[in-house]
Amino acid sequence: MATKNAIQNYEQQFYLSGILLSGVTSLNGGYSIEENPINIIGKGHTYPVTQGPLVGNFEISKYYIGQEPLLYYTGDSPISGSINFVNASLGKGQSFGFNSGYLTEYSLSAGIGRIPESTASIVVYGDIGSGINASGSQPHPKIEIPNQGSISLNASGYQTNRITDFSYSMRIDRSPVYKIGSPFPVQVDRAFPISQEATFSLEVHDFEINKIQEYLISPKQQNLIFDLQNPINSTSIETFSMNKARLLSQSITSRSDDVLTVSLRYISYINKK
Amino acid sequence: MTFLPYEDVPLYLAVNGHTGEYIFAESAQLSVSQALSANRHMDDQVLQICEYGLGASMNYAPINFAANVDFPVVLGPIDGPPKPLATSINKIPSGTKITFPNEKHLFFSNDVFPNGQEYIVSLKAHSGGWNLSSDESQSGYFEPIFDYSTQAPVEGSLSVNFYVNTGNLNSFFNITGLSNPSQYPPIDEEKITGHLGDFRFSDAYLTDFNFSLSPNSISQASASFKVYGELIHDSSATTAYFSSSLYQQQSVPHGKYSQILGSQDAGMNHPISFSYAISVDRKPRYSTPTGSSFESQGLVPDRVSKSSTKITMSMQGENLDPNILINGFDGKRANLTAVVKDLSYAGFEDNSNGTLHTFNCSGVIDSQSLSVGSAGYLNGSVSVSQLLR
Repeated sequence: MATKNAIQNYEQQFYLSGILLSGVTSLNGGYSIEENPINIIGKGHTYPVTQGPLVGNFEISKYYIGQEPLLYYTGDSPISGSINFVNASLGKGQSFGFNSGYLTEYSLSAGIGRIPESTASIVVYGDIGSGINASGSQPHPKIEIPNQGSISLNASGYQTNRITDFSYSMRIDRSPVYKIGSPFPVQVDRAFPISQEATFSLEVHDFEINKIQEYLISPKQQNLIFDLQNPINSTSIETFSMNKARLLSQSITSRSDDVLTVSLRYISYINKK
Repeated sequence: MTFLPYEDVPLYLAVNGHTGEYIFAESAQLSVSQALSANRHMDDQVLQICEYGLGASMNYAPINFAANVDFPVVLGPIDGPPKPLATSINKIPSGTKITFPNEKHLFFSNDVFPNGQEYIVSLKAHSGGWNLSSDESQSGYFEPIFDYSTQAPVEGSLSVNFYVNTGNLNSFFNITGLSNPSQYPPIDEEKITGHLGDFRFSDAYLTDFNFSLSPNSISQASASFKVYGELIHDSSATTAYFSSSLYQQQSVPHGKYSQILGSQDAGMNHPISFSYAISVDRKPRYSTPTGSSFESQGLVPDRVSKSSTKITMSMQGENLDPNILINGFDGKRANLTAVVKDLSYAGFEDNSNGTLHTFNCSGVIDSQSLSVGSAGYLNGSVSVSQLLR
C-alpha cells in the first residue's frame, strides 16, 4: 500500500545560481497574482483580469559561516535559485525555483555567544515555480565562522561601553521597466540610493544619550566599519562600511533583571557614483 | 424611483434603423446643456420716480411716507415722459427692497412682471415721516429676477468608457466605419439612438474615440457623442432586458501582449505607454421654424455633417529620434500600428482570442519631448498625427 510521504529537512538542498548553499536555516518562496474584476454596467461581474506584473518573492535565512554568496548579487546581475529534493514516493528529484531574481535586502546580525545570522530577500521578475532548477557545481566559499572575538566595530564614542549585539542591513530597491507587449521587464535597475541601516546595543558604562534638541545644532554622524574575521587566523572575511552614517534613534532600556542598555540606530545611503 | 445600482443600468446603442447591442462598458455619462444668458439692459436695476399718483400732473412733489401704506408711483425721469421697467426683468417679487441715497428704502407692494408698457407700480415704506428729494427719487436701486434667452441649441453629450471587443469595431464606435457598406461617398453620418437605463436618447453622433495601452494593464476605450435629440424617461426600456446572452464579450484588450509596430522609426525600441485618439468635427444644420414658436422644428438638427477627421497616436519610451527637422518643411513621417490583443490564454474560455483589433496612423511627427525626474528614467515621448479627411 502506497504511503503518503513527506520531504524531510535533511532531504532538501538550496542552490543559489549553481552554488549549493550551506548554513541555510529556512526558505520561503512564492508568488501571488493580482487580479481585478471586470465589472460592467447593466450586469456586474464578468471575469477577472490580471492588472499588474507577475512578481514572486523568496526569503532566505541562514547562518553567516563565511564569505556570503548572496552578496555577489548587490549589483544589477540576476540570481537564480531552487530548493531541490528527492521525492521518494515519486522516485525522482524535484525542484521549486526561480530565475531572474534580484536581491532587495540583506541583513546580518551578531551577538555575544551566538553564530552570526543573515537573511536575504529576493524579488523575482522571471519565472518561479516547480521544475526550475538552479543547481550546479559552483564552489562554495570556505567555511569561516566568526565569533564574538573576531567581530569588530570601528566607531568612535563607544570604546568604554560594551557592545553586546549589532545588526546591519542593506536595502536595494529594484526598478523594473516593462514595455507594452512583454510580460517580463526589459530592464531591471537598482533604484539608488541604496540605504544601509545599523543598530547596536551596548551596556552602559559612561555613555549618555544626547538630548533630542541637540540634533538641530549638531547631528551625530560618523563612518562605521563592521569587520568580520576568521577567529583562527584573523584574516578578514567581510567588511561592511557605512560612510557618513547618521545617528537617528537612541533608546534606553532598564529592566529589573538586567543591566542598563542603550540601543542606537544609524542610517546611511550609497549613491551609484 | 430609488437609486439604481450600476448592474441595473445597461447602456444600449444602435445605428438609427438597425439592431444595436448592449455595451460592455464600465461607466457612462449622459448630460444635456443649454447656453443661456440674461438679456441685460444698462439701467434695468435703476428705479426713477416721476410722480406720486397715477400720472395726472407729471410734476415731482415729495410726499411724506406713512408706514406700510401702499401708494402708486409713475416711473420715469422728473418731468417725464413716463418710462416702464425694462423687459430684461422677468419678475420683481413683492417686498423687493429699493435702496435710495442716504439710507432711504421703499418696497414693492406686489409682484411686478414688466411688459414694456406698464409704468405705474405700487410701493410702500416700512416707516413713516420722511420723504425723497427730487434728486434722491431718480436713483433707486433694486435686484430683480432677470429673463434669460438661449445663445445656442440645446446639446447633450454621452461619454462611455468601455472595452473593445473582438471582430469589427461596432460602427457606432467607428468614426470611419459605415453602417451601410455600399454608401457613396463613403462617409457615414447616420445618427445613433439608444438608452442609458430607462433614459432614451436619439440623434446622437460620435465625435471622439480613444484608448491607451500600458504594460501589464487592461486597456479601456472611451467614446464621446454629441446628443441633439430628446431625452425621454421610459420605464419600459430596461424591463426584462437582462439575460445571459446579452453580454457575450469574453475578451478585453491588455497591454501584456499588445504590440506597437513602427516605434523604432521614431527612435523607440521599448514603448512603455501608448495612446490612440480619433476625432471628427461635427456641424449641425438646423432648419428655421416656419410655424409657431412652440414647434419642435429648429430644435433638432436636420443633418449633422462630418468635417475634419484626425488621428493622433502618442507613445512614450526610452529614447526619441532627434532628427525631427531632417525633412525640412515637410515634417518627419511616421507610421505606427497598434495591434491590440487580449491576454491570449491557451485552453481557457475567456481572453483567448489573441489579436482583437489593429489601429493605424500614417502621418507626421508633430511633437517630441524628453523628460526625467528623480526616482525615474529619461523618457522620450512622440506624437504622430494624421489628417484623414
